[in-house]
Amino acid sequence: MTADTDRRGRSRILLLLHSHLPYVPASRQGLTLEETWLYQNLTECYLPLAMMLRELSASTTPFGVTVSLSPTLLSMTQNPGHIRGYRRYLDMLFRLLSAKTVMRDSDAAGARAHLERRVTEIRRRFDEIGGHIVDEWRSLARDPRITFITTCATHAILPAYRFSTSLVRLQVETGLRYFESALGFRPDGFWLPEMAYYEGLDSVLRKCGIRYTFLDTGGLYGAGLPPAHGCFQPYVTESELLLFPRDAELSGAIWSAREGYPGDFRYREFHYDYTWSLTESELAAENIGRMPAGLKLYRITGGDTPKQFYDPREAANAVTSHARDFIRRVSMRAASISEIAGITPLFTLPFDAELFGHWWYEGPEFLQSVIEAAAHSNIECVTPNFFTAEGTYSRLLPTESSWGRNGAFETWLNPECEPIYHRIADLYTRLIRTPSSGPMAKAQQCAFRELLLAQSSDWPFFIAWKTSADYGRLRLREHLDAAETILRGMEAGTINNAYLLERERRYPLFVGTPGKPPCESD
Amino acid sequence: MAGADNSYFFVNFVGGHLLHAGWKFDSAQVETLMRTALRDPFGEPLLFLEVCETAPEGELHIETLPVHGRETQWHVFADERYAGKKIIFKLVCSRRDGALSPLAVSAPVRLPEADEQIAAMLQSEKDRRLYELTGAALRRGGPSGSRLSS
Repeated sequence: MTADTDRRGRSRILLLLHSHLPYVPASRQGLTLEETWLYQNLTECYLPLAMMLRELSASTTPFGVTVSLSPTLLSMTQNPGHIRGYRRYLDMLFRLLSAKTVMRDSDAAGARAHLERRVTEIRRRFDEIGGHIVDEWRSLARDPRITFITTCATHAILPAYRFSTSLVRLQVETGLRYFESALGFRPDGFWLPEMAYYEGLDSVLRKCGIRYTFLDTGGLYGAGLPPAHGCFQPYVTESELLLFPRDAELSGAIWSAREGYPGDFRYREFHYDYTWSLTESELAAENIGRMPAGLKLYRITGGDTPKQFYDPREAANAVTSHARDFIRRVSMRAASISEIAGITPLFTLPFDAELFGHWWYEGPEFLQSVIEAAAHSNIECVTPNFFTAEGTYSRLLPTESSWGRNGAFETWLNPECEPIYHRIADLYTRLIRTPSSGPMAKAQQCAFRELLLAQSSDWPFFIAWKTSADYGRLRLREHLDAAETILRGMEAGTINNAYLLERERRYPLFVGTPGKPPCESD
Repeated sequence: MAGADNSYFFVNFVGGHLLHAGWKFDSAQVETLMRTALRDPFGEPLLFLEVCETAPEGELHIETLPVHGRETQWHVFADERYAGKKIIFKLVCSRRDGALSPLAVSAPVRLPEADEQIAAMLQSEKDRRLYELTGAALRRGGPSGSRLSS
């Protein structure tokens, strides 16, 4: 490589891993399917990523990674009920690995042994940190190469609530306060749920003390003037909010199911869970219904051939070649951009963290390979702090946008989900008129919590994509009805304390966090 | 509008082709409305949704739609006329003296641009090439006539 090509291919990567799951209550015994979303992600994603960051942190490798932690996820990982549930899940997984059907299947031996080793390693780490992954995140946050940020209290899609600035601020402030109580500091950055931005949101975020956020590509083009550097540099809004626009092309190389790396036939199959092969009596012995429990022993395989068992060595080879290919793509893209715009491009690559490890089992290894390879190339992995400290940026009036289908909130704001927003608006406008002190204070806080929980963007997502749609509808109805019940009691001057306690026991988050929301004019 | 009373008025861009307005009046507003507004043969107040663009030169009227009875929501097709515009909705009633009286104003919603608006924005070769590299064109879903089926 000549000096000239070296300069042309120089670039920066801002890798952001947004970690979020909706709050799902912990069961006292047994396991619900929804609980296993958390437990599988702890096993496959959150703990492996934390272990990867720990290893990088212990090294002298120059790198930068930004991690967003949603308040609902933080809350579940701190809740003793979920910590106990996770231990039950791991025990169950080990027992399933020893089930007769699995043991008898000699072809599965290699994949089974691999999974057993992996889960053993994860459980050891979980025990080492005392079952508190939040402590591990707090510890990692001391490394300036790792930046932690947060998001809305319950991952609300904010453009839907623009009719009330105070409702938007309630989501943002509650999220920030909850993160601060868990991690011990207030973050500078903020992840917008579903990257959903509306004009004017920048000033609301700035009033909450937020210095930067992330924007989807569609938000760049709409203010009458084209962005000076495409999506390859940060911008600053009128309210002095720093914006990092997403590079959809490089992101797509990683997340796209069709063209992205995770679809390679050598990687572990996500959908086909070996639990389906277990007998009813084997499942009954574990007190679980027929559900995907995380016993994944197949590889993607591809084509119409029967599924083959997972081969970790082949998967490792795929990781190596894909990481190498990704570095090559970054360099080539950087060369094209620097030729056009004469800048060292920044590629902002935000992902749902769950892609790495949960959906794409080998994802954490891929990330580590990319980070380590970047350290030996002309690619610099940075965090937003690199830019907030650096100086002046082009102005941008970003327009309304989100990630997802067509980039304009369609997944979350669709005809089927319309009644949600009507009902939330109704409840909220009644709720803010109730007294926030005296005997009603506790009830008001509970009603706000129910309202916040109803605002999760996960429920309309489930409904729109018809994945767990019934659960999405169930949760929406549960929280909206609970808020209505509490509110009617307040309006009638009769508080059912037993009901409030029961709701708080089932959803023990934000207790004491959301008070009366700020005034509209604040 | 929320905060001072028990009412609200929201507008959302729904499904990439609809503007969904929802509202609620508090009892005092309903009382005033029933006292001052013209009524239809069924005794319901005559309400209208005024759709306006908020442009730097001021508000530009786009259309006025009658809202019958005591509906609390209405849909407006966001066709090409809305592309790239920052829209506000006003809920107004027709008073007995014939004048239109405003009841509520929504927060603004900016709709995605049409392709020709983007093209007009990209004057230089550099901007056009950067736009292509962002892949933004592949991800856009703006209002357009062809997407409206009813």
